[in-house]
Order: sequence, then C-alpha cells, then structure tokens
Amino acid sequence: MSDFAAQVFQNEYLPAGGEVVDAVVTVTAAEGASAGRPNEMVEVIVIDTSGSMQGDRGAKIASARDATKVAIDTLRDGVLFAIVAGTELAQVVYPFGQPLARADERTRTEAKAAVSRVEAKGGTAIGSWLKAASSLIAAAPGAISHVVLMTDGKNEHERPHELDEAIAGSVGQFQCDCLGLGTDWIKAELDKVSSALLGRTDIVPTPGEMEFQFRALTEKAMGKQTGNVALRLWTPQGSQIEFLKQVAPELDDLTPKAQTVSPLVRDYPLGAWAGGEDRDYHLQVRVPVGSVGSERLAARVMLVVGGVEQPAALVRALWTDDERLSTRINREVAHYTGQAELADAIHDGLAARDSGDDETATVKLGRAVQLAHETGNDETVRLLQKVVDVEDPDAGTVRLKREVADVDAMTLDVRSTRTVRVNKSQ
Amino acid sequence: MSNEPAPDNGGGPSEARRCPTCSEPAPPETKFCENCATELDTGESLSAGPRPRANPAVSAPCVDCGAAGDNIDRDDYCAMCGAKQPDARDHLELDDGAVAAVTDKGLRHRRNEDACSIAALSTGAVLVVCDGVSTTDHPDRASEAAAEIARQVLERAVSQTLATEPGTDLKKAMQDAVDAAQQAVLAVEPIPGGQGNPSTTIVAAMVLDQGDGKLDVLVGWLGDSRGYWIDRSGATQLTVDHSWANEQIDAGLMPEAEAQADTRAHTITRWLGRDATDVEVSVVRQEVPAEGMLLLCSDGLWNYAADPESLFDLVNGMHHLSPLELARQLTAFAVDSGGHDNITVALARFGDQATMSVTDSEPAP
Repeated sequence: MSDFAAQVFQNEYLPAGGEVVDAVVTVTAAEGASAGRPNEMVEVIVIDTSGSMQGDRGAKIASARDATKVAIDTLRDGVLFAIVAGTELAQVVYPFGQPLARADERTRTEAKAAVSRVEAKGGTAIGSWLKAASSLIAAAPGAISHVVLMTDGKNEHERPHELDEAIAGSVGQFQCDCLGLGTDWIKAELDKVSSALLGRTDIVPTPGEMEFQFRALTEKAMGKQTGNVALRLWTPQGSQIEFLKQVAPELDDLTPKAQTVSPLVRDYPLGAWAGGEDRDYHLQVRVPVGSVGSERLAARVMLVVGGVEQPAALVRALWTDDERLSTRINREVAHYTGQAELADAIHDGLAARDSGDDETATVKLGRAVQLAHETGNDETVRLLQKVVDVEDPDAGTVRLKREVADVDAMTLDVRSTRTVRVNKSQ
Repeated sequence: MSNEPAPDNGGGPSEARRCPTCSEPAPPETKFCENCATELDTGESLSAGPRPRANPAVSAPCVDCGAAGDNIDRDDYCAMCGAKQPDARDHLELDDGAVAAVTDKGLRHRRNEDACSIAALSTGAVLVVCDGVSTTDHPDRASEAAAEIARQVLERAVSQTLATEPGTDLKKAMQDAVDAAQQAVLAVEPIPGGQGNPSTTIVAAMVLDQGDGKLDVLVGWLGDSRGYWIDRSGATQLTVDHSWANEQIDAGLMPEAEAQADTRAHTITRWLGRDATDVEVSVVRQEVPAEGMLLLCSDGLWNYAADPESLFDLVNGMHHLSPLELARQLTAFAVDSGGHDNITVALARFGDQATMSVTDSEPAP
C-alpha cells in the first residue's frame, strides 16, 4: 500500500463578488515497495470470438489468439487469471473447473494451448462477458482485479439495459480497459464500460497492433500496488462542485461518479495505482462569496486508501480588490482548460463532419490544430493531420481532407482525450 | 518564558515557588531565578510579552456562519462554511502603560508575519520588532521566536544594569540578545521542499533612564525594520536599513537616486536565519533628554512615511494620545494608506506627554 501526496495549483485570489474557484490537484503515489504483504492480483482477458472476428481472412482471430498469448506471458508469477471467449454468451477458455488459475509455467502453457483452440463463431453480447468476468473475479475478494476486453463489433445480441445492468454489477469489482478492433465497434458502448469501470477505451486500428496493446495493458495492470483508492472532497456548505475531472494522463470526467459520504463530503473512485504514479485533476467549485479580505476554504482534498484518510491538500479562496492578484492566470489551470477544449473541439469537429456540416467541422478542427500545436500535444497534431490539411497551425487554418480513412477519423476521436502534461508545453 | 505555565503556588503554604528551569526555590515577587536567571512568572503582567498563540476563536462560534466552536478545524477553517477564522496575530495590541505596541496583518497579506515584544521597566524600557521574511518558510514563527527571546535577554540586561551591575556592557547585551534570537530562528524548522529557511529582520531597543534628565538609548538592528527618536525638535531616524540600495550607495557603486530607483533597492542584505552570513548587530547609541519617544516599526509603516519629517508630521498632531492609542493611530494610517504589508509599531514615551507638542495646541482630553 502506497502513501499518497496531493499538491494544489491555483490562483487563490478572487475579485470582489467572485465565486468560482479553479484548481489543479496533482496526486502522486509514493515510489517503492508496498508495506506488508503484496495485494492479490487478478487479470481476466476477454476476447471477442464472434463470427465477424473471422474477417480479414482469419487475421483478426489469429491476432486475437497471439495477443492473448502475449498477455498470458506478461502475467507475473502468482497472479490469478482467466481467459474468456465472448460471443452471445461468455465461455471460459481457461482455467477448467475452477474460476481462476495462479500463473506459473504450467498454467501459462495450458492457457496458451487452450487459446489456440478458440474459434470465431457466434454473436456479441458484451454484458454477458462482463457478468462472466465478474463471477470469476468474485472468487478472489479484495484482490486488485483488472479486465482487458477486446471486441470488433456492436453489442447486438442483448438489449442495452442488459449491458447497463452488467456494468452496474461490475462497478467496484474490477477495472476494465476496452479495445475496439477496426471501425465496426461503437465508441459510446465501450466508453460506457471503461468509464464506469475506471479504465480507458482505445482503438486497435489493425489486427497487427493488437499484440502490442495487449502487452502494454497487461504490463500496466501488473504494476498496480494499491487498489480501491478514492479521492475525498470536502466542500463548504452552500457550495456546488461544478466538476472534478481527471486531466492527465487522460481526460475523464469524475463528476458523475461522486459518492456522497456526508452532506459536505464526496468520494470519487480512482481505482488502482502503481508506485510513483501521478495523475492530475481539475476541480471547479462554486463557493458562497466572502467579503474582500476574507478567506474561505473552497475544498479539502484527501485520499482514501484502504478505508483510511490520508492528509489533505487545501484549495482556498481569498477575496481581494487588488486586480493584479485576482486576474493572475494559473498556468496549470489554463493548460488543462486548453486540453479539455481541445478534446471538445475534436469531438464537435468530427460530429459536424459526419453530419455534412463542413463549415463547422473546419472551424472546430482548425481550433483543435491550433490548441494541440500551442500546447505541444504532438501526438494529437499527428492524428489531426490525417483528417485535415493544416495551412497555418498558429492561426488554426485548415482544410478538410477529401479522402479520410474511417480508421483515421475513429482513431482521432478515440484518442482525443489524451492530454499532455503542463511542463511539456512551456 | 513568561508564557510557560508557572508552578502553582496558590494552592497552599507548603507549595514553595520554584524556578521552572532549574527548580531553585524562588522568593515571592522575584522576577528572575537567582541560580539560572530564567525569567519567573510573578503572577502579574511583568511585561506585555507575546499573547498565547492559541486561536481565541477556537471555542467561539464561526465568525461567518455561526457554527459551534467545535467545528473549527486545526487549520482554523470552519468545517461547515470553510471561513478562515481570525488569527490572534491578525491584530494584536500590547499595552504596558508608557510602552505599547500594535501589530496588524494589513490588507494584502494572508497572515501577520511581524512580531513584537515590549516591556516597561521602572527605569527604562525594552522594545523589539521583527518582520518575518515572506519568501521563507514560517516567517511568522521566526519573527515571533526572535522578538520574544530578544526582549527577555534585553530586559534582564537592563534590570541587572540598574540593580547591581552598573558596568554591564549594553552593546554586548544587544549582541547577546541578537545571538539568542538567531538561535531561536534556527530552531524553526524549514518545510521540506519549501521556499527557504525561516528568516526575519530585527530591531531592538533598550532605554535606560539615567536619573539626571537624560536617557541612554541603544538600538540594534539587522534588516530594514527601523528605530526613530521623536521629540519636540523633530524625528530622527536612528537606524540605517540594511538594504541593497544603501549598500550600493555606501560602497560608492551607484549614485543614491539610481540605487533607490533600482528594483532591488529594498531587498534586505542582513537578517536572522540559517542563510544569514553573520549576525553581528548594527548598533546606535544616543544620550537624549528624557522627554520624547522612541518608535520602532516594520516597513509596513515606514513605507507610507519614509522620511522622518513625514513621520513627525503624523505624530505631532496626536500628542494627547496614550502610547497604545498612538500606536493604533499610526497602524490605522498605514492600513488606510493601502496596508500592502504587515504593520508593526512599538513605542515608548518618556517625560510629560504634553511637551511633545510644539505646534499643536489642542488640549489633552
């Protein structure tokens, strides 16, 4: 279990009558070995084996088998694991006759042999896959549990409410990263799963890239040391939390995930953390106005680890009539406000493009190029350049490309929430 | 220290009064331990030293929402509405009759990092003003610790001089006081990864009434907190700021106007703290007629009355006020002028207050 530290970046000063307080909070887990016994860890890999996976002359299912074997080889000795093949129902490929196997040379070999026999045939019912993962993971209560879920298609063999119920039943049981292969899957569906289950959704543009992504996700999961961390926020009476977003390494709005602890205290689940990991959060809170010269605590940020509160960082509001103080722009807040605007501009630009509104698409994607360029978000600039021709990145002048591969547009959309850290742009 | 709990000597005749440091029996009414010279609590206000730092609002309801006092957390915020509760040091007044001091947070700073400590003695006075350096860690604690210990050392020196040791070297006593203050500042731990080692300025004064109509005034300082002597003929600045501009001028490196116009002009070059290269105190000693007043202040005041003439003009109309009221008025003047820094004013008045006025004929109330 790690110790956590939180650092606040904000302009504490508000003008007379000001009520909106913005702060960026950097949360860092301490580096180094965890005290006491290491946590039990569970990894479940769910691969889509529906009929569509037979596509690309069998390349999809072949890649899925290979990527799953690589993931199995990435498991640390002693980690509990299972492999699930998903169609209109979920089938446990490995282990046999028990929910989870403990990784060692023998079980890894057996699991890989079982994966080799997986065939692509049937439908897609993601909710049933989640339910299967959940029932396997229930065999190791208290473990840090992680699921990799890969699909190439829509959730078409169950009703939407069945998926919603499966997600709700999985919240708090495990974290889930989703991978969408190709362009026939629905971003909103996988986003719903990964957001609720504190993971990310990414695209696998071609089958050949699946292996790398499976390995990366599994390695990341193996690095987690502290499970079930929550950010606890106290805000004053009469205040309103406008939002709490994770802003680095990726945008994720945590506002709807608030769990009320007491009238003034809310918890936001952050999932599992690796030693030395750090993440940035942007908090905006509206507080009752104070008189000039007075100070109010706008928020107290705590980390809850294993049910124990760890020390806080304070977000303050000080009212002043000194404009030099109240108009100061905090670098971190400004940076992440820009990264959020960048993601919105991409989303809106692509939506306008899909609906044939080229004028709006050009303006939005131009603004996106400008923001990404300004803030040093080179990866996003690269993805944007596959959708637009950039004339002047400083001014944000672009032209829509006539021919855009679906996979490029989708990749830009899926990865638009990736942010860069504040120091990279300065 | 005067604010340490004293042995309870009110309980019964068997409970002898003892020194809290060395346990030496101490006769009633003695001010210092005869064995180790620790200041003893006489059960009365010997001096107007620092008031308890405990926040008086802790048991009081929240100043903003009125929530019960047990809602005030350790950081002095209300756990209901978040309002910061006033700190005792935001505005503190010390009154020892002829000697008084006021220290105030001002309008711009988040806390008061100035500190002062005073003592009126039967035959003189001791005053100390410290201005914690804002760009260092815990400047408020550094200034408070320095002012308190310096006042104790000086008070002891003055008492001993007058009582038993006429030959006491007062300049050495001043250096001893500054050395003790330096030790106290060094004892304030910096914040790991913080801004810098706790640091503070200091200006300290001993005034001895020689009994022949003259006062022996000795002022020592490090930094830009100042001492002035003010009498019927005007105000005289006794101290010379340890500032970048003054060093340039003294070294002949720059004409005065140019040095004063530089952005570094007011940067202090001497202070107390771990980064101070030496803490040899600058001392000025003057014999003055026993009618007038000694004023020590932080730059929160003198920034708005930089030359002695403007300070004299300010004081001259307020001769009828008590030292405390005068200190309040000067503080209010600095707040009204913008209050950009913490403000501390400590003053000691000698002789007939009415003689202070040369131009103002308004009768005392």
